[in-house]
Amino acid sequence: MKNLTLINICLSFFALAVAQTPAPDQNKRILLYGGIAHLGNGEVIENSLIILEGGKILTIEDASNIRIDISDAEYHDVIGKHVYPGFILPNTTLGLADIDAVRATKDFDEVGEFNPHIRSIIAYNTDSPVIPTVRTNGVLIGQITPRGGMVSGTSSLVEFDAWNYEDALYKEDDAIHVNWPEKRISFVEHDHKKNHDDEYEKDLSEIKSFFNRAKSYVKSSGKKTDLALEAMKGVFTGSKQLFFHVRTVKGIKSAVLFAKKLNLDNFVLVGADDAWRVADFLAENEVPVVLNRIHRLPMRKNEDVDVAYKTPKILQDAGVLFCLDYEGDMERMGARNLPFTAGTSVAYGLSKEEALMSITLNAAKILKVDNSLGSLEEGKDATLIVSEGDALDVMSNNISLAFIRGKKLELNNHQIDLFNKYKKRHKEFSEEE
Amino acid sequence: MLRQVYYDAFIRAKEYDKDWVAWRKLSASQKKEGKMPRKDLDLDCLLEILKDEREITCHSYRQSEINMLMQVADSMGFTLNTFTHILEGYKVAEKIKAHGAGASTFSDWWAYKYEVNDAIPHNGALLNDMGIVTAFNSDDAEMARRLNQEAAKAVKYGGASEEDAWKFITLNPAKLLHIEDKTGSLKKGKDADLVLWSGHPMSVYSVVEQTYVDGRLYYSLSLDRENRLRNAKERNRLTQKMLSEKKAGKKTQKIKKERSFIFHCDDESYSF
Repeated sequence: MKNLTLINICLSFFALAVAQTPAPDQNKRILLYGGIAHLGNGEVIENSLIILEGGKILTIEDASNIRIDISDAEYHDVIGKHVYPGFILPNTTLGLADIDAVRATKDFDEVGEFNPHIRSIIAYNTDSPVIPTVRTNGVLIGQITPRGGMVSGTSSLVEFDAWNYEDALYKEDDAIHVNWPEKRISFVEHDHKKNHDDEYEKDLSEIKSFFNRAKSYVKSSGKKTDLALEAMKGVFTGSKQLFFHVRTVKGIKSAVLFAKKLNLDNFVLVGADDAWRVADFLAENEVPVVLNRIHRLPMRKNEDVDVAYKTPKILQDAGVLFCLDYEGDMERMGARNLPFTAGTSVAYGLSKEEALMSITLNAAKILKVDNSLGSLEEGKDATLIVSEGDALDVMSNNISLAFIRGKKLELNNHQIDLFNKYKKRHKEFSEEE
Repeated sequence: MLRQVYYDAFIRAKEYDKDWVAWRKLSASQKKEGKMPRKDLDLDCLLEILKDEREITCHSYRQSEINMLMQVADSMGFTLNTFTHILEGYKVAEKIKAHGAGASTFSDWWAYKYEVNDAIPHNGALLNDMGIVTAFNSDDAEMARRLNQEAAKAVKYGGASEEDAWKFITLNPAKLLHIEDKTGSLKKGKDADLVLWSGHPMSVYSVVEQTYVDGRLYYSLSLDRENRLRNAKERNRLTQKMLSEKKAGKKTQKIKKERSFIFHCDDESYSF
């Protein structure tokens, strides 16, 4: 037995050095007792009892007046700690690239303008060393999204704990992503999108004609197979969502009116920096928004310096369904800051629970997985985190437990390993002195 | 690998100095017959480093290059003032401490170049624990305005005390810039450069309510609110005026687009 333990320790150490080992399926009832449960739907249970079974949330209720049987269960005392649904990261290239400056590690931008049939999930690297550094801050689900061209390709939803891309899949081919043509205004930031200034009219007519072709392709039968147009089918039958990446008022309105004209109602705006200017229009048309990283500068010189920080509050007040993403410079390694962007929106008007919704339930609603994810509710997936303190604030975000469908995750990463290694070395130095 | 480049430069500077020292010793008549050494601005500058008349800030990532430059400096008899970025500084912290340099690092950036693969968000705290004067830099126009949140990361990741982490963006950078006698902490006699926060200064929930520079109110949240309203009104008035003039058939002109650009350290090719 002793030998076995030793072997186990060696094996797990080896595994840590390579990459985090995906957790085995939940085989035992798990009890979380006494935590401050932030449900993700705006409600809070100050003293909660949460029971996880078979990868689902079996029970979540006020623990004050309950006697529980903890035999045969893995028991966790989380008194005074904070429990949240796992944070959801939409519109990300996490796993599609490791190092920004090393081209060979990047696989999110295919050649060509119209690539709806390109499926990002194929390139998703479950062993990317960046992923474990993101989930240690509480981000457990991502929408792996291709970039580039006018129709970038098809995204998929994944869980951040898996052996391979099939194992990672949560919702396969959930949406097609379109970079809607728009004229640049005085953008001050670098932009991965094509500069459409010169070819704006041409691009607009090309993309419209592409959609028209797709629509008639879907209607007709007996035509030769066209993979690109075939991939568009789901958009018209409703099985896939359409994500319009767009920034300006003009672009937003033009994309929304175009989608309406095609009788589509399964579409979402991504980026939408100008959403605050047209909040009422978005609310009236019930258009959901994946808001571009709010830690950014204003797009125009005459805008308020804090315009991005306060956009969530403006959308909330107008009744727009929105969630937050982290697209832009350093978006993969920076994605671990997603909860802190939500926290920043609290300083600019949102309540803490509303801010939480923008990275949990609202994200799940927009990605159409809210029947199983996004909030701590009985029957939903046991995909949740426990933080020693408030997880939306930097100093107190300290994730001590994380589960994906009841599977308990290793909360380690390459960086923590290096920290421990050198902390020990430094300690030896100070002891010598 | 760059070691020889540095040695080559500093050795040339030393020999250049020797030539000048020898030249200055010559008498007027000897100078008339001899040849004055060639003035070299590059070497003059390197000489200032060797004579401790010029501070060095060195962009650095990996432990090997940090280690190498300290060896060059030690053997040439000068001290580096600050290593910036210094992402693998934690791997050679005891050597940096011994050499006497300071550190200004990123809070949590990594994975953007191959050579920053081992950059860790615990770096600042580890360097600080070693007794090195440590600061956080932003290198980003947006992040610069949230340095308070960046400081908090030293607490979160590396377990630095809140007081130490706060020094990463106040007193410690002032020390590295040699202006700590004037600013960087609230102390009798120092400049009145102050910030009033709505809550804990390292919390994402806090905002700046007032700032003072040299004792003058530089920013005020409440004043700013009023000014925004005033500006919006004025903007609207001007727009309406232009529209009515246009309606009245007055001459119009095309909109002139203003370019704005955020400069980065590698934007030297930008042309106006």
